[in-house]
Amino acid sequence: MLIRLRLISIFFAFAYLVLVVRLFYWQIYKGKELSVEARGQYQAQWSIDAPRGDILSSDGSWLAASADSWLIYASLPDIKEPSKKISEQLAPLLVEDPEDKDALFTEIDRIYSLLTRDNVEWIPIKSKVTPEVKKHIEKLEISGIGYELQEARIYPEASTAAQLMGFVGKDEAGGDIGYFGLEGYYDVVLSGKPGFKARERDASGIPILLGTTREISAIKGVDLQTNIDKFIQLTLDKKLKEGIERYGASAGVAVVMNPKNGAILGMGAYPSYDPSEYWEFGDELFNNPVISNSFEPGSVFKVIVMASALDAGVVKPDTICNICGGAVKVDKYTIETWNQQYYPNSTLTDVIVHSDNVGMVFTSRRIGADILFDYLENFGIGKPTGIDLQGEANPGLRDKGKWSSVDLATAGFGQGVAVTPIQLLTAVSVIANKGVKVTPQVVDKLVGDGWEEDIKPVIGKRVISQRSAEQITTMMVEAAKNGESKWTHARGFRVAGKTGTAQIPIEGHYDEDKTIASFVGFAPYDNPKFLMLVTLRQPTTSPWASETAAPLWYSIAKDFFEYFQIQPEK
Amino acid sequence: MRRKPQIKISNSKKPFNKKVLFGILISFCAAAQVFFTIGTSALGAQISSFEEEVELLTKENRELEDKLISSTSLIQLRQKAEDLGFAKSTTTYYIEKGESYAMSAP
Repeated sequence: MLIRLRLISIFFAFAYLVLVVRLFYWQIYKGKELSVEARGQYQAQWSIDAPRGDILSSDGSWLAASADSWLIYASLPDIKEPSKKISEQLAPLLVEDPEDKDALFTEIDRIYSLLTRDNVEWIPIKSKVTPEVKKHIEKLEISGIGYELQEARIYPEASTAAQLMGFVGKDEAGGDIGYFGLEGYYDVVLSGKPGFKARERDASGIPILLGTTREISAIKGVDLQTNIDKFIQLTLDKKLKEGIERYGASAGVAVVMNPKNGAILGMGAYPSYDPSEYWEFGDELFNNPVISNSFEPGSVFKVIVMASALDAGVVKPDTICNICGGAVKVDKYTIETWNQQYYPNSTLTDVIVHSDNVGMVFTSRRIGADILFDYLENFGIGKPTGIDLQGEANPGLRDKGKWSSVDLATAGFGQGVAVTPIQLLTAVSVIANKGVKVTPQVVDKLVGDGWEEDIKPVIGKRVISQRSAEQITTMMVEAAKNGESKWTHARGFRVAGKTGTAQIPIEGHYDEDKTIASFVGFAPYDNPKFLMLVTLRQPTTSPWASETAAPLWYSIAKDFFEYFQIQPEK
Repeated sequence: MRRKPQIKISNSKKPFNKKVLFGILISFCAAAQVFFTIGTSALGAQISSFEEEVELLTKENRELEDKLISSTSLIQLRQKAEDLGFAKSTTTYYIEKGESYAMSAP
């Protein structure tokens, strides 16, 4: 009896020990893992998407916006119909042009190869599909085909201002990130902050309010309201494209600025790309040539050098150029005028009107290399302008004190000095703005939910006196009226402008036939509403700016005269 | 020694039963718990249906915004205008103040 009792006691003690060990295993050793598994059954958690901010034009309409798109995927175990049939049903809806048989058959093959893959259960078929296409696919009622919401970036004005906008691509982790232009420069501001929600749910998915709920709200990206005027932007794009075709140029840019506050009203470049399908285009198109490409400005630079000389007090508009009777020798080089015509004893106003290289050698010698260097720096040459776009280049100036007599002479007519179009435009804006420098600015304000923040114009220091600015403006008015481009001048309109034909340096020498033709000008000259630079690369109908860039400038400006309600003088 | 006569006081009321009261309280709490739990679960379902509605309205809102965005596209408007036969005037006439239009036009 006693033995039996002892055996039973031992059995119970052993059973108790086993129970304790087992409980230790489940509660302590596997406790965390099981807790997570249990939580997975009753707790749901998901991230809340934060839409990217929109980019708006000055009137509040959209230049770039976020929209819904869909990822079409296949859950292979749920597919019931033959893969070939599904491929043939989906392909016509997923190609751009179903009539293009090559593209259609390629798409059928692509989908078929995806659907027949081994060892996978879930496979993405196509991303960024529009809601309309999704609706068409839904109507087909193909079992095993599913949809996942994605955010797409749309550009309602298509390739208009593409280089200004930039585009949204993917980073290494597969997240959205802005590249180039505004999308790149303001990426942090535009990107929202995704939120998070965790909540307990019952078996039917209904939230259990007595359970724990954690929620971090998503913060939508901030909208950018730009200074871009849609009318100006679209006019620039249309006319620039027409101009490039008409003058047989390989590329071109056109930029419009309000010289009083630096607001960029429009910025066009061609060739361009469609930012919503950027992957279809070459990388070389992504850089914005207005801020990234440097060139030797040629004669448009004369107004900057002349303004510096006038302000330094070393010359006056009626100063006589006593070396303008013929070509001038500088070191081992002979500097001639562009057409080998010489005007002895011409005034410096005539020098600008005739775009006289010899007269500019005279002027730059008067001012001297060091003072000219200081003025050029103050005009913003050799420094980034600070425009709010990603990818601004700065060609830089030759160091102060290292300028030879040839460097000084050639800088007078814009050779041996490299600038970007935006640097040139900003420098000329000093003249248009009565001598005061402004920083070019694309974005006007940041607009969030229930708040907005003005980005105030950055008005810089005075570079030249108002009197000097007025003197050089008068010279530019004369150049527009009586210079080489006078044939295309809009009669009666108060335009101050200057042409520039720069030869392109190739392998250590200047190519006679390959030029960059530019025209920069503002109107009305006494109270400018706009300042515009037009540049054409390698025009083939004529190498001269007076026959290419200038007429294109006036063709665009005529539309702006009406738009800005600028009346002719008579 | 005379003994004081003893007076007997009889209580007609029954003694206070704490156990019964405790039982009632517990029952009430249990009933309240059940009632509120049912109420809360119903609220959970209601919240779920509100969330579905919000999602639907957000989706509709996005669709309307998409339509608005594409309809304000100046490129599309220009194309539509061209299709409808509208053409931009190629010549602009400027007239003096007080001058009649008929006099200015050639």
